[in-house]
Amino acid sequence: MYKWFHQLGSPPTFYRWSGRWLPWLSLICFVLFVIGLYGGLVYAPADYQQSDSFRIMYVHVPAAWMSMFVYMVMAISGAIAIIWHMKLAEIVMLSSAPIGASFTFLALVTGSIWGKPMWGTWWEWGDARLVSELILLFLYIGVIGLYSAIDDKRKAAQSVAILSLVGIINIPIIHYSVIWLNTLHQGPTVTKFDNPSIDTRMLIPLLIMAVAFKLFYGIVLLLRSRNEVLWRERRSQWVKDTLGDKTDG
Amino acid sequence: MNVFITILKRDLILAIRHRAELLNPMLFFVLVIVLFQLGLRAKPEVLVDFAPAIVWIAALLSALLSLDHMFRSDMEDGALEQMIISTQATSLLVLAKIIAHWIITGLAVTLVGPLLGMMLGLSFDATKILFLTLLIGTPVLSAIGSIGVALTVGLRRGGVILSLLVLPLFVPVLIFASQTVTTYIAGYPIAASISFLIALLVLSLSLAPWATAAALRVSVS
Amino acid sequence: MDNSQTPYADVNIVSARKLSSEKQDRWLFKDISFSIKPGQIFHIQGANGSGKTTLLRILCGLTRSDSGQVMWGDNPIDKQHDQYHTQISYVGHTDGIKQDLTVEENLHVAAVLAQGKQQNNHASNKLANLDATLKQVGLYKKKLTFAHALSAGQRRRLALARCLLSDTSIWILDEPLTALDSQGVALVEELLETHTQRKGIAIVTSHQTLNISGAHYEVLNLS
Repeated sequence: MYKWFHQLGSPPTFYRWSGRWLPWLSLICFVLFVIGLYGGLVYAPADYQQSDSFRIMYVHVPAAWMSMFVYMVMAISGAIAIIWHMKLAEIVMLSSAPIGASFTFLALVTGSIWGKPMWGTWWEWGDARLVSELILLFLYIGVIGLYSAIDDKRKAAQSVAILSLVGIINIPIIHYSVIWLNTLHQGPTVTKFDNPSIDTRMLIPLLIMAVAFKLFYGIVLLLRSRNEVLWRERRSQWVKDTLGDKTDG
Repeated sequence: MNVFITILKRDLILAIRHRAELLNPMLFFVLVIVLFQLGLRAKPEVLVDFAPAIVWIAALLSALLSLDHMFRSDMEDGALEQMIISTQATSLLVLAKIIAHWIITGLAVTLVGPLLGMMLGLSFDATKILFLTLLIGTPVLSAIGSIGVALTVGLRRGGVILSLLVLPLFVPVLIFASQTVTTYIAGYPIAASISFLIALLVLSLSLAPWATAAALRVSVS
Repeated sequence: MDNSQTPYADVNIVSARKLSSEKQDRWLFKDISFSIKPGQIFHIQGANGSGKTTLLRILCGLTRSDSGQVMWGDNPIDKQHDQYHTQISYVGHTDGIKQDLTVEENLHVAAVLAQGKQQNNHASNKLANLDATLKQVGLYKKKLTFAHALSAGQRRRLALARCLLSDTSIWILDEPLTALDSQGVALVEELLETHTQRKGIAIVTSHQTLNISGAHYEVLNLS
């Protein structure tokens, strides 16, 4: 197990391995997106309260889930990068940050668009999820900003690893404090998901979309990591071999 | 323990020998509050609602302003390297520096804050609660802030990025502290939010030194 | 000092195994190996920017090398940081002296930070230790002077005084001779001589040659 882990950690192995998997992943992801979107936008019945406007959920909810998930991946790979100084973990962490920030941004925008018909405003401070999502976006921007601010990229990666670990401890605290703030003020608490009996025909497309988003993240992560690996190892022989004869990339 | 006290004393002596810098964060704190009120021109009964948040945001900003000093001079003259290769646990040294930073900046804000709260129209009782939140909350700012400074101390233009890193992490303190006062004014019990503030204090003082020490090791390398 | 002839309690070989370091896409040095035995002075030479300081910092455990390892005895120093740090004194480019503390205060902080490093015989009486050390480097009269009032050479002496406070067997000195007058140079040479006689290791960068009698002297040229 450890050996496998270690081998995968070596850049050339990772590069070859990921190259083999990418086309398949992309295909599956594309198919899932088509099914999920068809299911969500056409097949699922309209909501009796929100009519068709709820359908933005099929983008908003997976994006919001991914925004948290990607941060978790960043923190875990950050921990690995700190403890074992494993280069691949650093690369996964660094490549994840902009993707996670994009998901967060998408969740914010769709959430705000969804909010307009529901609350009558584009932005509702009373919604704890939306507010924590906004803070999460700032945490992502902090990570990206710190990485670009430090010239020595190995140092930058280590710093970012520490920062993302600090962030992961703070996310639940921030989320809880925002929820607490709102229970105090009895703001308009329109909960989107506390409805226990969501129609199965609505749920299944949502789950498919969630898987599709995960795969999409995986694909973009692989693409970004491959670039980063090539860039970091640009002076080594295997990169010259690989890029020279173009068989693999 | 000896080390802890030595470093604490060292930082306090250095601060006293730079008296002008010592006053800056507090003056900044007062100035922000004054500017708020001048900009708001709110009616007294409205101002009371804003007062806790205004005082706390001013406290946040003045903490942010003073944080950069925590490790910068030690970084520049090499004292930080000596601390890291010393036999003492870096996290203990960091804790001493956090406490020193709090005494230099947070304590002054804690003492002046309630006076300004009164100027903003808080009742005497509410001011006492404000004092309590400042007393518990400002060390959290120094502790969390130390992580951000440690990450950015090697940078030439660390200031902007520091606020980007640290301010989102200050959100829970801001929410709980200012809400405690507001809840108290509204006549509701505040024990829960005070307990939460204390929990934040304990958590940040016990975890931040480790993160800061790790970040310093990276920054110095 | 009365313990000047007794060997250090814990001496061991410091060695580098295939150390490499790169900076901005350029190898500062690649795959260098050496080993330094107790009682040896290891003089690192090289042009500006050849990576002397980086190498010293790697040997201190402050900076990580891009590949390779520093060994102390049979184990890499990453595996025994705490143990290793009880053995080293480092005087870097930036000397770690606080301008706004007096000479004595500076040294006191250094002494506390060095607690747990091997104590020498005076350790039971710390104040006597500080005074003795200051006398040794010729700064006793400046005890209560602020560090910012010291000349560059005096600051150098103060920084060197740190090495004497604790009985560390490995001294890592970055340009210890800069700003020193001939007396100061003689002092450093004398300190290093005693240090090597006691089976200590000194790793030094310098543009000047050191004149130390009776020491194993080895030169590494980085450029």
